[in-house]
Amino acid sequence: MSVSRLQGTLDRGAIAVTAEIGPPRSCEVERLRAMARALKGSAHAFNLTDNQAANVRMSSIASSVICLQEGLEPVMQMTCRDRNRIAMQSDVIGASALGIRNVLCISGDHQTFGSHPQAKNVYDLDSVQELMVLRRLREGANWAGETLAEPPQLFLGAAANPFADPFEHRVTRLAKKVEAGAQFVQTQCVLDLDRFRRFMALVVERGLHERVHIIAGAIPLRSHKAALFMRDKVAGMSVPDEVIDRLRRAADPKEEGIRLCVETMQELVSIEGVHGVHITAIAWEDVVPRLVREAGLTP
Amino acid sequence: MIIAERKPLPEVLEMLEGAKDVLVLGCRACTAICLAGGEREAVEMREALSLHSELKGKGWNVSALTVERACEREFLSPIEGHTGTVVSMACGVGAQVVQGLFPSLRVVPGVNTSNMGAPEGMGVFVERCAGCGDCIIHLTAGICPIARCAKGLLNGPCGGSKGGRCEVSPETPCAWEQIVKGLEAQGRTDLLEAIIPPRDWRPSRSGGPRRIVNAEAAPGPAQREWRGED
Amino acid sequence: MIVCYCCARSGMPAALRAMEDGGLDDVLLREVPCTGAVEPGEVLRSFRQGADGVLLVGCLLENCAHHYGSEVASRRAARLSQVMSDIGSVPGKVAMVHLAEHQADRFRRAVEGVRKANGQEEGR
Repeated sequence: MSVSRLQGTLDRGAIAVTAEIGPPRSCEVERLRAMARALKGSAHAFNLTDNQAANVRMSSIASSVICLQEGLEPVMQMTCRDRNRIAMQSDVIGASALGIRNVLCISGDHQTFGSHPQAKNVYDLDSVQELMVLRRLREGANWAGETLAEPPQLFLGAAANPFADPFEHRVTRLAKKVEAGAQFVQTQCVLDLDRFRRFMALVVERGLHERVHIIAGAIPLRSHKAALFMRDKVAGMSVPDEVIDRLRRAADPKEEGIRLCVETMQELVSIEGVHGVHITAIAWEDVVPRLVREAGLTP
Repeated sequence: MIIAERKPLPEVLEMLEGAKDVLVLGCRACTAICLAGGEREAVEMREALSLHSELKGKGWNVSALTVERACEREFLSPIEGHTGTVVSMACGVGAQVVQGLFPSLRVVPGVNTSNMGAPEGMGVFVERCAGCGDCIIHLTAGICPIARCAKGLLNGPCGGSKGGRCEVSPETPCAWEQIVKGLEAQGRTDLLEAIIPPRDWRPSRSGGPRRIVNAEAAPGPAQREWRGED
Repeated sequence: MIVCYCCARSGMPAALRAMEDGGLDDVLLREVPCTGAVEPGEVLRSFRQGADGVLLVGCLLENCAHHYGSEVASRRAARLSQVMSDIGSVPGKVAMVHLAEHQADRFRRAVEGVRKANGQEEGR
């Protein structure tokens, strides 16, 4: 029994496409609606980030509801940085009541990265524990054991980063998330296909691909400078030199970046254990429909 | 031990506006070891305050005194008879114990008390314990993830761990990378697979200021009477 | 008066040589085994005892007779200059000079630097 289109797509063995939308910094509802309309149909579900990089933005739950109103299926994100278990359970019950079904449980970037480094962080739970708590909610009780007359309907996800260290431990970490309740996993953007293949080989060896749907991340890069930024300034990213060189040598870097992304997406879905692609086109969301179309993955 | 750092001098000078008698109180315990508030630092503070008073006509009468441990009343009798303001170079604990025992004095902090840690090398002090009240380092190769992981994660590293370093600062080792390696070295990778469930934070500061009573040591009626404490 | 804490190996020989050439009547020499041993409290105390400046005279950084005492003194002197600034005095009234035993001129120039800082305070 699937609670969302994303779950239904994955459970019946089809390739799923998800894409990321960064909520606005203020109450720019019309801008968000416009973006939603432009992206509608290009993915099975859309992630609404949760104060990503610790910058204050419209909440994931509010942006998710606005996207629902526009006919998109959202993936609400909830980090462990800003909310304790009381707020998390409360927000998820509220989210489900408003029609949100997909929830991504993540640790969250440390607040020192963002606009409010002075803030006190929470981290009452980590992402593994968050999955346990939300799974219990779906099963009918909150973490204090109180029965829920109408439990939330949830399809729970987590993040995986095959490019962070220590490498060998990343599969163990994924296994823990699956054990804790992760039903789908979106990975960090894949630019280093070799490393990603090695990761997936270990995942398959362990049989994890049969217990969780892995959706591999992809990102279109507009220039070699963007690639360098990813390599040097973004935590947990692996960018091979070939990618940087290819973009640097290109006559039209933007087009090359799109071509590279499409190729990567096609490669990713051919790897055993990969059940979908997750596109993060930050500040370039309007390229998503073209990427999906050219990769032959339009839902 | 408790790690503290000297407060910026301008802050201390501002606290002493309007003061008359000023006692600089050093402590021979933690703040002496971390070079923030021992005898040497207390003497230097006395000299700096005296010089400032002289230069600017503040009229401060500054003296210095260093005790064994400022957090224990047994060592504080030399403070008796002093009046005015105390610039505490002891940690926040000592400062408050002194204030509590000498209500007629005004105690101001001369140091910023930071954390529970240890010397890593000369002049370098690193945080090691978060005082969570429920120690689990037997599960993590003797490395505390609450104190040493910037996010206090309990089930492995976040996606920002790179090259053994924490995403927050290249100077900070990733505690979970260290834990993984430590458990591998101890032959206890089974502990890496086990999920640590949501924590009960009540024994930590989150549950409220803590009061711990050692049942055997805390006096009963006979002992209290003998000590004249009733 | 400018109090000069001079280390036995380099500071004293250089200072004594400079004193022979005259013009340093406002200088008071104090021999120490190593500038690294000079207590910060003592440096500040000197001012209340009538000093106008304090100069630490130690070995060249790579050549300290006690390996790194001169280096420690250098960091300490820098911090004490900041203390002088914080308390409303002139940072240059506490200074350090690193020299070899024959470098009398370098000693003399360092003294002149402290005199100038002193003049800045009086000039106000």
